[in-house]
Amino acid sequence: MQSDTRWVLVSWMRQFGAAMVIYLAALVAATWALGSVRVGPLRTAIILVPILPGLALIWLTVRAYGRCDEYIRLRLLRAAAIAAIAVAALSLVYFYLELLGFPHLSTAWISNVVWAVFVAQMLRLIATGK
Amino acid sequence: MINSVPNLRAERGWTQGDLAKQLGVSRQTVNAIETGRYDPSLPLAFAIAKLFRRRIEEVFQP
Repeated sequence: MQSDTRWVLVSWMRQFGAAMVIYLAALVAATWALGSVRVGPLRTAIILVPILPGLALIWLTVRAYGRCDEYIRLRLLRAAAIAAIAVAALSLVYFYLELLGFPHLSTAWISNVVWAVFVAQMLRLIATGK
Repeated sequence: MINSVPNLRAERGWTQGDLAKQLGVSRQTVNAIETGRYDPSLPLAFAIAKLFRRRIEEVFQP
């Protein structure tokens, strides 16, 4: 248990934000490489680079979990559960919308939804304490 | 579960931050316990009772 849990969350949010910016930059580069770089080791490397900051997002969050006290850990787990449920609901709905002709989406959106829902809850906890 | 943490803390003139520091938890955790949004673990409940020099059932009631 630590008394500086709020600092842990704020620190996590800053590091998470930085990792997310790097991830998005790598994602843009990977998307560009898909259509603009000739098939070969360089193209493969550019496309795979986003995996590293993507995994960093997870590592930062797991590390923050270990540094928080029991109540904040509960909140983190609840945020993760709600994010998972949101993805389950959205993927269920969109599956049927796809059957009706909606465009096929990459599975990459799952990660985006999970983090968006999770981070929104953490921001609320940091801002309001509730 | 109801608890008398707010009263015991007020008797001593402590802020939520003071109590949190002595317990080694966050102020959000103390606030959540006092407002009934969170029931603490047994180790934390015992730590709270010990800090206030009360029996655990004097601090927490079902």
